[in-house]
Amino acid sequence: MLLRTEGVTVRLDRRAAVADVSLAVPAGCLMALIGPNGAGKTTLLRAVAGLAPHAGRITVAGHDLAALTPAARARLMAYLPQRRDVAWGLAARDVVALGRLPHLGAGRRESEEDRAAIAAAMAAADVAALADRPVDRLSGGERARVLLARALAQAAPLLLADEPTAALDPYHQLQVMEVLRAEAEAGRAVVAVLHDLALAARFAHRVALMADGRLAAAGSPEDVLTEDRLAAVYRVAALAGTRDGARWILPWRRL
Amino acid sequence: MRRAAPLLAILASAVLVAAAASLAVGYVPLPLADLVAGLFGGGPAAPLVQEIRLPRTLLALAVGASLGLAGAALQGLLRNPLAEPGVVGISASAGLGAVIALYFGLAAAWPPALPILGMVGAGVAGVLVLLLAGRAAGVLSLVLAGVAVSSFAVALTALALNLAPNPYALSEMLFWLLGSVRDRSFDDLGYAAPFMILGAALLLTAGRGLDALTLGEETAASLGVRVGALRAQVVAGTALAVGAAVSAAGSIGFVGLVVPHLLRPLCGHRPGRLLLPSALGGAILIAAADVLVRLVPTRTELHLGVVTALVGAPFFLALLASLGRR
Amino acid sequence: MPPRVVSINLCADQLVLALADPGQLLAVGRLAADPTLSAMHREAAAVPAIGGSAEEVLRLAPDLVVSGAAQQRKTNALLRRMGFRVLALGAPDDVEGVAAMIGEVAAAIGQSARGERLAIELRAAFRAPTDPVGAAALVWRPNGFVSGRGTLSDAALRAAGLENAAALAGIGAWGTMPLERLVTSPPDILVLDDHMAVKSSRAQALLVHPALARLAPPMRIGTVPTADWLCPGPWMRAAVDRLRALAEP
Repeated sequence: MLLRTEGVTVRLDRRAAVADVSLAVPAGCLMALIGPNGAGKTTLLRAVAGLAPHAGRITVAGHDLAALTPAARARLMAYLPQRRDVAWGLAARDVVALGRLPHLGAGRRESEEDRAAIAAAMAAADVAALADRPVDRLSGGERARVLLARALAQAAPLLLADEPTAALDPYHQLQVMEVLRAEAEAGRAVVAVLHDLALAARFAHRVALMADGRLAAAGSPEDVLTEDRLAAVYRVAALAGTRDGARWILPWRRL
Repeated sequence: MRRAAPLLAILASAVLVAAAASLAVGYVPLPLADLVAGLFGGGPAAPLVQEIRLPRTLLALAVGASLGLAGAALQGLLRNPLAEPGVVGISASAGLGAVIALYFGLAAAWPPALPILGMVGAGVAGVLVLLLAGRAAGVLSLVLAGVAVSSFAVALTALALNLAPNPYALSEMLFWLLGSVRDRSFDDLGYAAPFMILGAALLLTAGRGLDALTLGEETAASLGVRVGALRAQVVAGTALAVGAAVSAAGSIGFVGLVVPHLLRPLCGHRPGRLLLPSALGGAILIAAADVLVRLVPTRTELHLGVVTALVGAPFFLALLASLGRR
Repeated sequence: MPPRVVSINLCADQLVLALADPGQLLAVGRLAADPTLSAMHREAAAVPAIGGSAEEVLRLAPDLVVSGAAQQRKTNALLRRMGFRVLALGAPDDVEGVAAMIGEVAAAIGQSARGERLAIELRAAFRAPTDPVGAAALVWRPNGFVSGRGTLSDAALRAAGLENAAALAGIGAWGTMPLERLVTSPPDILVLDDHMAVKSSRAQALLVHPALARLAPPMRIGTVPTADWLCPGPWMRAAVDRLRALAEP
């Protein structure tokens, strides 16, 4: 297993935002982390990224997270937060290049390998054409893809993405999900927090459903996204079906 | 990397030009041949060049470099183009420390007390601004925190000068508010330079972390940056560089604001790559300003802060207006 | 051969101008020739003026540099480092201190006899009268600064047979007197610096506040030229004479 969490609990203001979550994500898997607002998805993702103090055990590629140095951790996993702030007007290519920081030596000179990783990441996220554009002049969708390319350029076996499709139009939502799935199929483990059940059902290999900080269900989209669970956890009735061999789902009305 | 090398070469040449001008200009006309002879060997002008103009020039360069570099590093840390040692009150607090060291006899008893208290003042202000303005300082909170820290330090400086047995408190105040490198010797340089170099080393090695911080603290942490340590490094480096600079030359405003802002587009807006050019740019600005104050025929020599404020204040306002529009 | 001297401080300038032989002074500060600030401005006109930087001093290569201990601190240190003899003057607050300073400067520039004579004249000028007038006078400077006990202005007032109203009010060496207090218990004589008689700053505006104008009469308002008592030295006898004239009813 590339990522394993065992009994992970995160307390925020004494409340357990994440309670006793045990998960396993193998390489080659895109896992959608879903659940209603406040279910603890982002908090769990931050705990895995080493950004939230937690109880329980997290291992990445067999390494205990608590024992990893920040630099070693950065080579094992990339983290794409939901906020897409970039403080300065860097060129898109320079933003993507920041993903290589964990791999650069003291002189911070880019090697051939770095340049190849940057180019590959930009191609995968379809931002090669934006290379010289200042990132503060890009549209929201362009910026989201540049930041995704940044995370890809880190070339870490585990990619954590927090709502990577938020505030994107349908075209770019599909594009981002295709990239994440392709990255998983190329051998990474990808964990993506998603609000869009349709995207989760359509693209994820596995789905983990959280409710009130706990793991309510985990498994294939077909097993997890049942009518009963959606009713119990999300309080919605959904339409569902199968098209081109993949499951689709559409929340229809409140219950 | 792209464009960095030519920029550094141009700035380094400009530093040399500014330094040469600063050596050549003074209150006594000096033929070029005498100047060169005096600088590199003997000749009648050797004492003038080596003991008066050289330390003055070197101090101007070092102070300017410290201020420019500290401005660029603070802006990177706070992700705010208005962050600057003067604007956020670090310079004024360093001045307070230096005044306490000077007028209560500490510096007379032990000369390094002067830069050390200057650095303590700068460090306290740096921590205070981080606490007051927050980690990713908004324009408003940063400017307000700076006004508060700065006014408080200036007021305490005036209080210290009033309490000290010093009949010239008012004229001394002018120096601590506006700065000067007039008639400084190698002794002054010797007390300040080691700390400025140490501070610069801390700031120049923060580039990788500051680059990562462009994407926010959490992403920076996920890229392997120890954000807490980075913050401590930048505040300590600023305290050392600015504290020592102010204790030798008084507080000179706007250098750390104007220089990084002008150079940022030339450095691809990367905060790490901006550091060294800002140090060079600051050195050029102060050395040039110090040439100007010696050329302007005023009855008493202009303070350096007057020149930098004349350039910097309109700049600051324009920057503020453009940030407000966003 | 008396030492050749450069002075780089307004107060030092006036002392060396009063003490030195013509030709002994290589240069004095630029302000020494300003009649509003310097009692020795006529003498200064005959001596080259400099800005007071170390560079200028170095070029003149004097045997002795006279300057101020506080204002020229950095320049003094630099000049001493370069091997110059620097006499840095403090700010004495009584007549004996001034006499001693005159003696010190005189000795340093090889004019001890002249120094002794000026010190004697100074002491004589400040000798208290046998029949003091007893009127209370207040020396009023910009922003309400007054000279209290233990200042040369206080000594000058007493030498003129006057009581120092600021000292009576319990004000120490330097202090401020609020306008309100001045208006409620005005002195018999208000003494202004004549440098300030011109309306050109907020501080001077306070000096000619309408409330002050309504106090006179019976309060008398007189002036002493700033140059006569800005710096400690023998010229202060002019200030004492002026105060004596003001004290005449």
